[in-house]
Amino acid sequence: MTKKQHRKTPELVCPAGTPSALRVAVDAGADVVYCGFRDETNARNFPGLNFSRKEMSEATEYAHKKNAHVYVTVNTFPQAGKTDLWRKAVNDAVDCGADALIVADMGIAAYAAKTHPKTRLHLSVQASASNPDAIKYYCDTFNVKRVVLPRVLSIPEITALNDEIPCETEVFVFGGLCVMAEGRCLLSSYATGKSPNMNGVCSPAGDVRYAQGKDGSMDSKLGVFTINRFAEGEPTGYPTICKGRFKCGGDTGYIFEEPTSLDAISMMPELLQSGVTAFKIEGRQRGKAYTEAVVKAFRKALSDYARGWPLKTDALIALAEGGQSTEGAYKKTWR
Amino acid sequence: MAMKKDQQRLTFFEPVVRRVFRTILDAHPEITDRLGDYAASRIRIDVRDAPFCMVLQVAKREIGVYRRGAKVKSDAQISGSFMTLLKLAEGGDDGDSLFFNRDIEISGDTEAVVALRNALDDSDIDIIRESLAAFGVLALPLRIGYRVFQDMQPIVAGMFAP
Repeated sequence: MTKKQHRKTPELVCPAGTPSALRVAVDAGADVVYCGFRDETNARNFPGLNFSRKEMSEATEYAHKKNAHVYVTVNTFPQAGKTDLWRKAVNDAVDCGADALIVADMGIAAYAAKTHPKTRLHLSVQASASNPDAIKYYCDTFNVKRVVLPRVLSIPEITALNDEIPCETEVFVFGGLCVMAEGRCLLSSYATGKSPNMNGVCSPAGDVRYAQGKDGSMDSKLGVFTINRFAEGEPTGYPTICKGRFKCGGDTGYIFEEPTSLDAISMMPELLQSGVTAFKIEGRQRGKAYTEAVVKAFRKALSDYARGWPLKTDALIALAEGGQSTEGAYKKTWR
Repeated sequence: MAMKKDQQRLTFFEPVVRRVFRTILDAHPEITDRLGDYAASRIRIDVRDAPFCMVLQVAKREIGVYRRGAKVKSDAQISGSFMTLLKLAEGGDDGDSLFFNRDIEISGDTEAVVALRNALDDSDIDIIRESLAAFGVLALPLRIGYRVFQDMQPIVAGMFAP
């Protein structure tokens, strides 16, 4: 059974979509930066984003010099018989000096565990492992050291889980939210033929169009579907179907979820008590200005909490999707 | 009466803008590399508080300057205030946040816009400093001129507001 590492303060795991964002994250106080290669092996396969092999090597060197770590995401699901790209990503990440691999697919986990047994293996949120049996299976079978928990668990559920599993846990504290079972959502593929699970893109930009109305409104379209219309001045969100506004039962509204970002700064004390090892910030697709602001805010919040000072909870609202934030399932008020 | 296309073009400014554009591309080859196939896209930049717009094409190292509202062929369009677009290009603001808050608008080929945003965000450009450096001995007076422009910017924005 794997021994858990206990930290006085949680590891701050921060996103980087580009080498510049990685440097900014490290300089702003990230303990770890996670990033991926420039292809469909990672769940943020967006145009102009991600790292070449050379950039990844330089990035890990930069991070290590500043006592930070780099976790490489290889967290999409290859199609059967087409695993070469994913295996190469695993090998190259290790060659580039990655401190851990974040994987989702069992076949890729098996390959990484067998080929690179000395490299730490983390289970991506895309694996959607949210109960003790599932997590124990990954730990026992692939020697997974840490699981990134789906954003559907309450804090009491996370606490109970931490008592039952042999590995560390990492939880999201800021950024985009998925209401679906992560790694299982196919909504995007119904409209575009592509999904985050298989292609690393939810609502691929090539299928997104925005149309500005003469009245100041803006239509958001995905494939052939209009999925939202924002009035003049109304804050917008990502063009994902789950955050679309639809006519349903005689009403027009958000039937899955509103455009909003997770912000768990206010829940930090409870999350620390729950036994999690790492706090994760979502947003490899965001600019480095976002990375810097969020990393600094959470570094300050951790410092303030350690000193017994009150936590500043509204510092990041300007960065939030739809101009609003939520504690999500951490503060579950529904059944 | 509609203007002819060549009347919409601000040819007086184009050599200056083109020189700056090419200087930046030369100093940051990673922009072209990161753009990949999207370097061929023609992207229109609409500066809301200025009397002009630009259409750039990285692969051809070309940039055109046109009167505001000119009908020019482009694959994708971004609009915002001068300072917003400048900060976005320099990575000083997060593009998604600007989009959520309606500070910028995009239309056309979203993929090309996202690629350009990501390429610029990675490039650590200082547009003003690098632009001024492109003019050698004129850099200092131009820098002073820019500072005056910054001070006057709210007034200028008001003059050209829709």
